[in-house]
Amino acid sequence: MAATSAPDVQMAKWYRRSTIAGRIMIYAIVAFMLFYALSPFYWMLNSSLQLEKDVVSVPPNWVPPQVTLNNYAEIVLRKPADVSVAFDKKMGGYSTFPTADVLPSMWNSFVVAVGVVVVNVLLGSLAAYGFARLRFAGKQYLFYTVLASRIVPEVSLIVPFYLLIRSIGLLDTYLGLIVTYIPISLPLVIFVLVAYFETVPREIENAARIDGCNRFQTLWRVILPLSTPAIITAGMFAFLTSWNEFLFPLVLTQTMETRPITVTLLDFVSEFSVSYARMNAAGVACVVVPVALALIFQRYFIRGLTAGAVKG
Amino acid sequence: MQTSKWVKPSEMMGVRGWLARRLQTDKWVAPLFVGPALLLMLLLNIYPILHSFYVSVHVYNLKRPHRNPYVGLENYLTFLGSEEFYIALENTVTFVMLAVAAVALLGLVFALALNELGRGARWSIPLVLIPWAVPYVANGLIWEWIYHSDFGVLNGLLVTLGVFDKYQTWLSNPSRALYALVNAYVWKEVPLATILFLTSLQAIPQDLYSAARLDQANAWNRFRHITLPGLKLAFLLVLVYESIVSIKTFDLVYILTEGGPGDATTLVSWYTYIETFRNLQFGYGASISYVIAVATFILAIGYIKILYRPEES
Repeated sequence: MAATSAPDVQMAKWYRRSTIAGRIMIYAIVAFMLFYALSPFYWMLNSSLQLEKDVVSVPPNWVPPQVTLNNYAEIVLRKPADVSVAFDKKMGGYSTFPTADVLPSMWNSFVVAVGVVVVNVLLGSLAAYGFARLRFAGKQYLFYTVLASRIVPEVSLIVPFYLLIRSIGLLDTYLGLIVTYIPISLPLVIFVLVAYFETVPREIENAARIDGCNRFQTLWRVILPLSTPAIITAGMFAFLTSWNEFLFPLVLTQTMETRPITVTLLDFVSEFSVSYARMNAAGVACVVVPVALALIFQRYFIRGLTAGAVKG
Repeated sequence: MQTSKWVKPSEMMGVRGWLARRLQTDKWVAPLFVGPALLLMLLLNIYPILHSFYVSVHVYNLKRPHRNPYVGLENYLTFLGSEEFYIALENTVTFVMLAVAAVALLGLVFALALNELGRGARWSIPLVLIPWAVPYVANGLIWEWIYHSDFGVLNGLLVTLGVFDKYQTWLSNPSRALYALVNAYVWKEVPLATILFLTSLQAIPQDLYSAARLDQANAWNRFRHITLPGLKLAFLLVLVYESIVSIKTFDLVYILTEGGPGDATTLVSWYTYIETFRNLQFGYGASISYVIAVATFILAIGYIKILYRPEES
């Protein structure tokens, strides 16, 4: 980029003066970034809106030749294979229709995720306040132990969890899943909240304490109202961790009563029943809730994360 | 006392006063704040960790559920002597190095570009964030369909552009599968790195740049002496976080390749899973994850030692 040496240039206006080539490069990078991030979604959506015969065409259809919502209707209503779906014998036997229940498992995912968020924000903000503001023996040590616990691979936690959850009779229950997700999500939630709480000026808090508020009241009335971005960020982390979890529910759920969408999605990918159009429709169903949340809350999210990134 | 609503703890009487005064001291309050979370973490994290250590020094084979003899370090020695483990380890090292480097580099480049555009690019930030929100399973499904050897859009695109003259295999090609896996991973992880770098960039005081320009520092020197040091903490976070997450990569392998073709994409986590759940060697599986956890921990400490010098904290 242009290395102009004019001494009095203001950095804020620098980019306007840089060379055209530099600007074009920056736009090209941003364009590539958007293409890289979004085109896979476009392709999933595009494929989910086509008839099966159009989905498997060579070369691919860049836009649906004929838009259909049939795939969505099918995965939601669980009708037997529709006549409108061209059945190509050449592709080999994919006649068995997945028996996946998309809507019930989305609901399962949602209920568990909300439970995980509530527990995380409640326990997380209490613990984070303790780590950020209170002095007690072994504080640093405990904090790093909490963070370090995330290093253990999930694969090695599955068996003990299975035995633990089974022994307290929570196998195949919402509560069992919520309990399982807490140790996965809580460390990150505490980390985000501690970083943000530390940016809240102590003077505000001291004023409340002089007025006679105890620590709980200070947290509830002073810190939390000032920490909305961090609470939302932490809540997002917890929600996404829960919604996106796959290996644990694969082992810990056995019926449609609690089975989340990530596990149900497998039915549409399994080799013997693949309809690519329906597979993509199911994929959309799996991502629509987390993506919507990320879009709605991104502003808070970025502010909530800023504290952590900047202040450490 | 009747006139004011607030009574200072120091003026309260009896048990209530005693309790209220205790609640004013950190030592007494701390357990109430951090206690519940720590207790849960202890029960739900430390217990399984200890339990799986116990399992790792025994033979736990579900095919013979009632014979679980103590074998000491035998499980550890067995996998440390097995060829499959070293293949998995090599794949994992390649995967982690490529993935972490790509995430950090792309995240940095994207963040620098977004930062140059300033307010004008604000609308694109939420869009960039989207892949981050997607479950790994859905991520796997999306890329499996893109890579599809008969109908995939990647093939469609490359043939349309004339790069190849016929459709290629990606996930079932031993020399490409691991890179295809890395790409799917990087796609999901870049957004968070981008946002972390971007927020750090925006926190660098602008007058540092103005001052540097007054001193006639050129673009490279400004980048080298102002931007990079300002990004140190973001680098630390991205490197540590991505290393920990990428070493554990499992869902993607499950959906995309199941470790294949052959053992081309058998990462350590997948190897552990196969040994644990398909071969039902629970003790053996647990011993592998122990070594991986310890290795990750050492790696994280290493990053912190290199990037986080005490004089800056």
